[in-house]
Amino acid sequence: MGLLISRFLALVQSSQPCRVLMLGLDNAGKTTVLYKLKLGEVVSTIPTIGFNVETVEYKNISFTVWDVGGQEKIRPLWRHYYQNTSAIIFVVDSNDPVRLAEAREELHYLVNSEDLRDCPLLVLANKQDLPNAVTINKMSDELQLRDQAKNWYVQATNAITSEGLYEGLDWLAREVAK
Amino acid sequence: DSDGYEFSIVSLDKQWHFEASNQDEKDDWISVIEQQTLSSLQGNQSNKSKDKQANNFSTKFIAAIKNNIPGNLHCVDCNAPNPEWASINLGILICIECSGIHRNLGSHISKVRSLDLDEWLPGPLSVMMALGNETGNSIWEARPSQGKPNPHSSREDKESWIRAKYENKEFIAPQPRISLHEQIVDCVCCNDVKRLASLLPHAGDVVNAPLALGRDLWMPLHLAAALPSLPCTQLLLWYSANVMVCDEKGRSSLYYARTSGNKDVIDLLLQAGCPDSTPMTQNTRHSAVTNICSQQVTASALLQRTLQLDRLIS
Repeated sequence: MGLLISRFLALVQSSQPCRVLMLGLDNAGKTTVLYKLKLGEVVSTIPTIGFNVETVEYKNISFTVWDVGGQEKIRPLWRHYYQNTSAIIFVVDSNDPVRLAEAREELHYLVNSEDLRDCPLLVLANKQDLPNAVTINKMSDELQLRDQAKNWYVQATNAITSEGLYEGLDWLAREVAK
Repeated sequence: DSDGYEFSIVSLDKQWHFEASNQDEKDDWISVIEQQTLSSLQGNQSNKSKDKQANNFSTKFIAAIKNNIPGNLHCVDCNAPNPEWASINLGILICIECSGIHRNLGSHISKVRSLDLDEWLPGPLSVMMALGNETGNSIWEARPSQGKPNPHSSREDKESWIRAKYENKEFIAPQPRISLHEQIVDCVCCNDVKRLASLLPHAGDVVNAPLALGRDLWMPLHLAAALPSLPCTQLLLWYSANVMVCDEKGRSSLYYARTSGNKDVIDLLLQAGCPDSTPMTQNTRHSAVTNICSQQVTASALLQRTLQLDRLIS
């Protein structure tokens, strides 16, 4: 009987799975975000040529986060990861305003794809601590998010100190639970 | 009993298990599947690349950057062979591990790209062709420096060296007394990309100072566009030259790029959002005539300015 109850509790309490696709231009900080969430520490990274995937438990949701390399010639491979995705995290280097137009182009291509139609979009305006960082207001303008029908949210982050990461995840958890 | 002749295909969401009747058959299947995977990946790439000719063009330059530029056969920071990553604003090649460290510096210090996995435009290519590892180290390791890492050094040692070199600028030569602004203008006038690359990391707002306050509102970017110099224009843009500034006649850098007629410089400025103070895109005879006239005007203006500067410097 005790075994039955514990099994029943495990079933009720088991966290809801959520497949998250984390994309963005090269050097946005995707891998650093992933491992900061997973391990709580800053790992030494090199450019991601393939992908990294980790499961992060948060607010009773089991986020399986796919971090896919962002170099220009491997971006066409992103679409192979679209299927069954429940949420998108798009990471942007706020300190590199010159590349915001390029980031916008990739982001709009993503949000307009049929497979990701119902996914909420969390934009992490990363590297807010660096000298040329743009504000999240400027970021929303430059990425032309305001006229998007999609459910989106821009969060200022510093992945090194984890500032803003959990606020972003809170928003995502609420959207996924809806 | 067919143990050892099994193989699996692992994809994102599924796995398939296969069993062959002998080793040769298994090897054949695997090689055919790998071939197919590779060709569909490559097919995917070539679909996206908009202009195959442009692609060939950059492939030639990439090969030249890897093999023909002095010092580029080894990582500029740890000496590992065959570096495949670049810091485009520093004009140097680095290995993948050092590229990870350069990315930690922030893109205001080092802008990292892959030689093979990124698309290359003429602007960055021109800077990479003009600089290179030997030139880079003549700037960033001008003074004797101890503790340079080798390929086997620890990541921590490499990181502290790279931060000392580019972030704290510990090994650069002492700066001459002549004003930074005059030096920058001088470099642009003579298209001295190497010296310009050594000055810009110290420049800050100086890049946006007019040539002569109150009289001549031209900035270094106007000069670079009028010459025209693609690498100087690209470097100035990376170091925060303001594309919105116009001279006393209300003309932008793009205006002068159009009169000088260099398509790569024009494209670069357009891409950077430079306003088109006098549109000259219509392909009419009238605009062609204006073009020639203003080209003469620009040439004489450039000459005048150079003379002025000579007086200033000497």
